[in-house]
Amino acid sequence: MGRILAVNMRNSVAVGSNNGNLTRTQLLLIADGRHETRCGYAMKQELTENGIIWRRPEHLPAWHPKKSGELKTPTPLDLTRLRKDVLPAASMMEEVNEVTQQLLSLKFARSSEHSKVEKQDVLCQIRRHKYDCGSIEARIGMLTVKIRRLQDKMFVCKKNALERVHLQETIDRRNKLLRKLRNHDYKCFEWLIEKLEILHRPFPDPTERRSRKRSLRKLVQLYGKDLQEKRLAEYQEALEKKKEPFLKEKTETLRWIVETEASLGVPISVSVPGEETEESDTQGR
Amino acid sequence: MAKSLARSALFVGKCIAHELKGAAKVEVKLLELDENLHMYFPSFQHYFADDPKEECKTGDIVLIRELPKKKTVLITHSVEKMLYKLGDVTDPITGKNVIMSKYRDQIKERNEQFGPGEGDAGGFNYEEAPPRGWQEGKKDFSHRVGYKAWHVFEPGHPLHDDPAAS
Repeated sequence: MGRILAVNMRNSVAVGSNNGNLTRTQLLLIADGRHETRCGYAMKQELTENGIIWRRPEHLPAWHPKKSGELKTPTPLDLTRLRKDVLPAASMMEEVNEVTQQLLSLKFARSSEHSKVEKQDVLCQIRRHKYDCGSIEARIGMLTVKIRRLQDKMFVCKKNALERVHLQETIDRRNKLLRKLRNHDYKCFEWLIEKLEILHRPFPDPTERRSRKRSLRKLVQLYGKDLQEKRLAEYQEALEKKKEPFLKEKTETLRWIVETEASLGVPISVSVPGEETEESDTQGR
Repeated sequence: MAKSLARSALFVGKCIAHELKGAAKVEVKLLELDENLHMYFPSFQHYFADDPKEECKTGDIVLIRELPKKKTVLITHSVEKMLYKLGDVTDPITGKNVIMSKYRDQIKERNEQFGPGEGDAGGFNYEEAPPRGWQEGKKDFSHRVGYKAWHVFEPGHPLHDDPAAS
C-alpha cells in the first residue's frame, strides 16, 4: 500500500483524478516506468525490440452497447411532457392547475411511463400506419428502446443477473429479426438501421479464441508484410533515381556508335532514340 | 470422363461473406445418400467464383461453372448468371413484388385504409428508396467476416476500431 501511495506522489500528473479507476497492477507498472512498454504479458525480447507489443483488448460483456451495435445513446426525455395515457385529453390540460399538470407529466411518472413515451417517439418514425405495432420494423424499434433502457440500468447495477439475462435475450431476439428482415426486404432493412442507428455486423466464430500466442503470430505477419512493402517501395525509388542518368548514358553511347560507324563508312546499325523520330519526321515530309 | 462432367456441370449456390477481392464465395448445397439409413443428408461445399466487378452480395443466389484453368489457387469457378438478387423479391407468376407472404400492393392498400397517425413519417417508401447496398460499410457489415478483436491497434491503422471485430 505504501508503494502505491509513493507512486501517486511521484506520478501525480499521470494518475491524477483517475486514481480510483486504475488497478493495483497498473499503478505498480507506472511506478516502475514500464506502463507504456509492458502490459504484464510475457513476450520474447526479439519481438519487443522491433516494436511488436501485444495489447489485449478490454473485455466487454455481451450486453454492452459497443457489442450490441448501439450507435446512439438515449437522450433524456423532457419531463414537462404528458404521460402517454393522458395524451387524448391534452387539450384540457390548460384548464387544470399547475400541481395536477405536474402530476400528469413525466416528472413524477414511473420508469415504465418514460419507456412508453420513448417507444411512441420511435414508432412515429417507423410505423406503417397509426395502429401498427406488429410489423417487423415496429417490433425492432420497440426492442431497440427496451435494449437501450436496460443497458442504462445495467451500468448502474451490474450484478442484477435477471435483468442481464433478459437484456441478452432481447438483443438476440432483435438480431434474429434484423437478419430475417435483411433476407426478406433488404432495402427496408437498410432504411431501418439508418433510422435507429444500429450497427449490424456478423457474429464471430464461436470456436475462435483470443490468445497471446496466436495474436503475436498475426502481429509478426503484419510486421513482415509492412516491412516487405516498405523495402520494395525504397528499392523502386532507388531504381527510379537511376533511370535518368542511365538513359543519358545510353543516348551518349548510341550517338558515339552512330558517329563512329558514319566516320568508318559502315552502314549504321543502331538508332538514337531522340534523334530517330526527328529524322523519320523529316523523311515523312 | 468424370472430370469433364464436373467441368461442364453448373451449380446453384448462395453467396456468403468472405475477404477475397474480385471474387464471390459461393456455398453449394449437395445431398449425400447415407446407405445405412437410405436417407439423403445435406452437405455444403464452398467455391470461390471469379467476379471482377464484385456484383455479388451476401445472400444472392448465383449459377457457377468450373473454369477450364484455375485463375488463382483459390478462384476455380466463374459466375455464369445471377439468378436472384437479395432484396426485391418478385413473385414469378404475377411478376409483383413480395414482402414475406404478402404483395407490396396489399400492404400499401392496408396502410392507406388505416392512414398515418399524428406526426408520423409514414414508414418506408419503396418508390423513393435508393438502390440496395447504400449502407454497406457504414452501418451494415454483413459482407465482412466477423471475428473477435485480438489486438488494440493504434489510431491510423486500418484495423483500428474495426466494425467487423466484436
